[in-house]
Amino acid sequence: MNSTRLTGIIFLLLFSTYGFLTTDIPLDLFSEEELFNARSLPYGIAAVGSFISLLVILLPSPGTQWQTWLALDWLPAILLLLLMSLYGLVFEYLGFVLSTIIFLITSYAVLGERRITWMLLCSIPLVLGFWLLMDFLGIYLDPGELFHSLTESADA
Amino acid sequence: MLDGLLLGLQTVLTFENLILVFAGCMVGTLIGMLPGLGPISAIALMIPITYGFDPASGMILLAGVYYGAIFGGSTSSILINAPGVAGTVATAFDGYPMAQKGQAGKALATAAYASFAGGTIATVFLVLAAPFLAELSLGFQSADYFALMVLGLSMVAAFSPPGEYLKALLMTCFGLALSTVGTDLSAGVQRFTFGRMDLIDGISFLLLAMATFALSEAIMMVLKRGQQNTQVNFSSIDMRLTAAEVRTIVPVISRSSILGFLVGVLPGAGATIASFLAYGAERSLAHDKATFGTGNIKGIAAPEAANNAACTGSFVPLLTLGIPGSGTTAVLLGALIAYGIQPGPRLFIDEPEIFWSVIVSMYFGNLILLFLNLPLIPYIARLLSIPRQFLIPSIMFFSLMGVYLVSFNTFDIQMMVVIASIAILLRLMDFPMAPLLLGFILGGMLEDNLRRAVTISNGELSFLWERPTTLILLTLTLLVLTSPLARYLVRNILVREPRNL
Repeated sequence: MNSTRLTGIIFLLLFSTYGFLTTDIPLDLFSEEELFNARSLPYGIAAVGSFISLLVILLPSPGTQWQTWLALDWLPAILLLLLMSLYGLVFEYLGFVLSTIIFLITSYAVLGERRITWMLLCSIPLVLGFWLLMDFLGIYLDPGELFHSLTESADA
Repeated sequence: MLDGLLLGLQTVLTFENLILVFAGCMVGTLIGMLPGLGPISAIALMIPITYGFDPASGMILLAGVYYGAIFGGSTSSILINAPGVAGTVATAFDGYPMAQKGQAGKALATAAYASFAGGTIATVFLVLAAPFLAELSLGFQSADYFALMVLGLSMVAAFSPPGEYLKALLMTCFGLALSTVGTDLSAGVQRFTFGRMDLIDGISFLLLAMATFALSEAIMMVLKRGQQNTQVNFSSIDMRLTAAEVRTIVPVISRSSILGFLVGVLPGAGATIASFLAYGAERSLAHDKATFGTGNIKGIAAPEAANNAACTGSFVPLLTLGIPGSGTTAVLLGALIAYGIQPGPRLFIDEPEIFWSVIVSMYFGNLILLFLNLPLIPYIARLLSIPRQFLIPSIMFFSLMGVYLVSFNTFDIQMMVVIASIAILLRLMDFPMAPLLLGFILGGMLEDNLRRAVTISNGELSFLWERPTTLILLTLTLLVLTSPLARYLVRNILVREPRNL
């Protein structure tokens, strides 16, 4: 299927769902009587968005060549997106310094870097420098739950 | 006006603010030079740093970043044929062939002189036009603002590249829809939060800007790994121009600067259209048309003067009406709102030091780019040789941290990944991102003004045609929206020369 048309269908579904969800926006008795309330603009956006999506579906368009998509380097891109998501998940547990160093080193590796020394030289000074800069600016970056539990057990 | 200029000079000419202009220009140049990263990404990356500054200093830094990023984009266009910014694509047409002929220094110097002259001429126009427009817009009412915003959003779509009109409109609606997520402040009810506390305040504009520009650009660089050439020849960068060359480019720069400023003032047009228009106009006027595209110095001077003048011009609607005309000024508007300042005609009256310091800092930005950045270009350009495997993770890190440090909520990191993934897929299908950002930024203001206009008119829709300003603006909107459709119908049905909408 033509990629533009497919996107049009996805957007049509999106705006229809958006319009449907608009009915769930709670309104008090007073607001319901008003010509313009919290639902008004979303209804308008849903209507206009659905109409434009329909135009995208119905009017002829060349779309994107799927072959060009196959030529793209998908694997590292997907891995990097997953890495960022994982970084967000472990950030609070491992803390800024450790999680960021691991994130950077793994990203370098995903992009083809294999020299361990270079990976360490590029990640550790960047992370520590950033951490010091934030400390200087008075922005507190938590060392992480792991660090806290380790220091607590060491104190105990 | 003179008082205002003096006030602006007084604000900018402090040691700290001069350092900030310089730092902004340098950082902007460095980021703008990286292929794929433009002024929007550069400004979005710098916003979290400016939160500690007073608003005037923050805006001074960001204005420097804006100019630096445009200048940096020209450098990568000329040296490696990889425009960092869409507004410098036209510069690559003749800049890169000149660099291949061993005249990279001359091309860079021409770009810098043309940018400086374009910025200077446009700043003079801005100084003259902005206070007048600000005074004029004091008479604007909610209905006029609503109509003006609808016009601005429509023009973004109308000025989109051929075949992308409907896509741009769709992205504008998508941006408007995203702006409704969170608590509706006037009614105090939650909309589209799905019961999540993280969404109660809505989606932050910084998160959206970072995810759709900086982060998705970084991933796009990975996706298009084999399609980039980063071979830079740093040897023999001679930046001197001959007297004959100067005589050739002076009229080109003058014409292109005026054209660039006028295009920049139009909401939705911006630096890209200005640079292409100026390039096209100069090629049409030239006697040596055939040499355009092979390294003609006029082919660099025209787009560079125009894009810089358009950048300055785009500040006119932002500072006087509070309405951004481009994706970049939309991000700047977001920054101003984050500082607690509402741009618009009142800015000129209530916060004159910000209004004038932004204008004065633009001029200082141009001076710094010419006298400090230009000689450093051969050294700054070495950034282009940083291996991608180290550069891309750094961009990702700064983007993620830029958003995290505002909210201290890791949910934002997950949301960035989701939005960046969607943005990447849309970009691969040629859906433009700037209308999304503009729709998102203007969504809240559009709703407020529409609500106010409806309330003032006692629930009647007559506010749409009662005031001449509103009526004119809405008629213009209708014309802007229907003209691509009319052209499409004429070409496809009457002339039978199919084109896409």
